[in-house]
Formats: sequence, C-alpha cells, structure tokens
Amino acid sequence: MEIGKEIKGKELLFSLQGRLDTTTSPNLEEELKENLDGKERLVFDMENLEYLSSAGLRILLAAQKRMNKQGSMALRNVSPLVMEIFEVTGFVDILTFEK
Amino acid sequence: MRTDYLIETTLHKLNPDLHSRYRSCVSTSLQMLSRYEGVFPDFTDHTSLHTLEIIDFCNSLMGSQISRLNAESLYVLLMGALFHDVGMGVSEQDFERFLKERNIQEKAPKTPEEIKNLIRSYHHELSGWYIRKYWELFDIPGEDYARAIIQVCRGHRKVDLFDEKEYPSSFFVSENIPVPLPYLASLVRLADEMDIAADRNFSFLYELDKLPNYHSKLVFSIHKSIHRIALKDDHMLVQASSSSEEVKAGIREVVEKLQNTLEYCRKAVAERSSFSIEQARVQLEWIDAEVAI
Repeated sequence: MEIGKEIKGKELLFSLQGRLDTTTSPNLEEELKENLDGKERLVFDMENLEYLSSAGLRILLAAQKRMNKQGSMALRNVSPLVMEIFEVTGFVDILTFEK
Repeated sequence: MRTDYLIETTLHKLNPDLHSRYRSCVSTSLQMLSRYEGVFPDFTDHTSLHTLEIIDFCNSLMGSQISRLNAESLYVLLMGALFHDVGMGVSEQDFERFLKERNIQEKAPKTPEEIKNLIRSYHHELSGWYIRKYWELFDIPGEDYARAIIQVCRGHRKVDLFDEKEYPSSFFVSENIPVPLPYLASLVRLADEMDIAADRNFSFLYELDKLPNYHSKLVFSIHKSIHRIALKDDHMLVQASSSSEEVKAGIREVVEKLQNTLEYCRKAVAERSSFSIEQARVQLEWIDAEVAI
C-alpha cells in the first residue's frame, strides 16, 4: 500500500492507495504516531483504496478515537466497495464521510 | 478462506432485518464502551477496537463451520460480542441498582478503588444485567433472543459453560429456531482471551510514559511485546520478543492463561455442541525485536 501525506497547517491528509490490511496497517500506524500531534483535522482520501480488512478498519477507528479528543476526522472519496464494509459492520453511523 | 467480516456479511445475506437490528446497536454500544475509559483510564482497550478484534477472532475460529449456523445464531453472536464488555461502562445509577438487585450491598464499595475493583469483577454480570434491562430499547426481537445474548455476554468469563441449566445444549429463540449457546459463549470467551497482541493498544493512542503506575506500564509492555497471534490448522501461534525477564515472565503467564481458556472452551464445545474448535494448543515463539519497558 502507498501512503501519500500532505500537511496544511493543522490539517493532515493521508491518501491511501492499495490494500489496508494486517500487513500494511502497521505502516499507517507509524505515520499516525509521527504526525498526529497538534493536528486538529485528519482526512483520509480513499479514492484509490482497493480493500479494507478488519485490521485496517480498526486503525481508522483508533484514529477517530484520537481525533475525537483533538479535533475532527473525515473519510473522503470512499468507493462503493469500501463503503459496503462500513455499512455491513455498522460503523457507517459513527464515521464522517465527505466527497 | 478469507474470514474478514464473514459473520456480518453472512447475516446480512441470510436475514437483512436481523442485520439491520444489529447495525443500529453498534453506535449505542460504542458510546457505552467509551464511557469505561473515564473510570479505567489505565486499563487495556475495551472499546470498539476490542469488539472488532473479538468479532474477527470469532470469524477465524469458526471458519467454514459458519455455514452450519442460522441467521439467529449469527445475530446472537454479534450482539454478544458487541455488548460483552458494556458492564465496564454502566452509569453510576445503574451500578447502584445492580448492587441492590443482586443483594450485594454488604460488599458495597466505599472508595473509588473499591468501586473499580467491583465493576471489574462483576462486569460480565453487569453486561448481562444491562441487556436484561434495556433489551426492548435495542430492538432485540424477543425475550428469548435477549436471554441468549445475555448468556453469551455473561459467558465471556468466570461462569460455568458446562452448566446445562444456564447453557442448555438445545436453546430456542423462537419455535424451531435453535441457537447453540455453549458454542457461541465459548467463541466469545476464547476470542476475548486472544486479544493480547500489540494492536490492542495502538501506539498513537497510549504512551507508556504517561501511565500512572508501574503495574499498568508492565501490563502495556507485555501486550506491546506480543507482536502477533495467528491461527494455524491445529494450534495458535503467539510471536513475542523482549529482553526484560519481567516482561517475558508476564508473556508466559498470558500464554498459559490463553492455553487454559482454549482447553476449557474446546472441551465445552466438543461435549456440549455439534461444533468444534480445531486448535488444541498455544505455541509461544520468541522472535527478534525489542520493546523496552
């Protein structure tokens, strides 16, 4: 998986490309650990995310948990396939989506 | 076989109404679970992240046996996984009511530490009590469904899964709709015990240095030093590393506890249901990596 990163002041944008799963989620965890301090908004662009495993979903929920304390988080350009995962697991109601 | 989201997608396919009822409970349960953090800020994760891991382990433990479970059983299993720890986050008022109803006022806690210990000790019963009280609010289809979910929640620790009265081999949530309670409760109990690896506590959520006491730091270090738990055909593989003898001893203890739970649940499932747990032992493998305490 490739992780693109863009920082604009207190906003942090990650562009995810490929599969976010058990193998790749530690890379995202490391990026979050290094970059979340002081950020008030976190955005994941998921336009090119092909698959989200349960390990990947857990890391997004953990990021949401952290951002609840210091700002906000949004998921952008979620594909229908990945949206199905949020819907079937029930987490669609607790995450914020934008286009 | 790929097992990601298997229970959820199968339930959705078999019975969209039950799946929708489950889905509508997710955010409520998460609010309840997040409340515990105010009471237990130094505890390992018991929030949505732990719930997801439990469901994931249940998926892996069941494997192809999922095809033998009806939609009602999958619903009970998901609801049990979702609510098994809500007892950690009940309100003060509900906690008082629970103590009164269970007639355990003589043990009534006086200090915050005593309250914490009592909640921790009874949280599986509190989870069951909470479902019993609010089952209609959660749109659970009937009292027998609620009973089954309560038993799966309670069964995640301490209670006797061999007790035919508490965990009947044949339990019906509706006429002619059986739910294998001993199997479902065993799955949640074992999955709960399996959530021991580092990703239970993400590094960007917890900082070892900020934990309030040495014991908490040690517990978090033990989790942090367990890199992976994987299900193999006939065993569970735990991969860990540490140069600290104290952490290593803690890891051995955690693995031994997992082995005991595995043996107990495996026996309960084999003797009390038509299902099975394939893994018979836990193998600890030391690998090269380091997490300092």
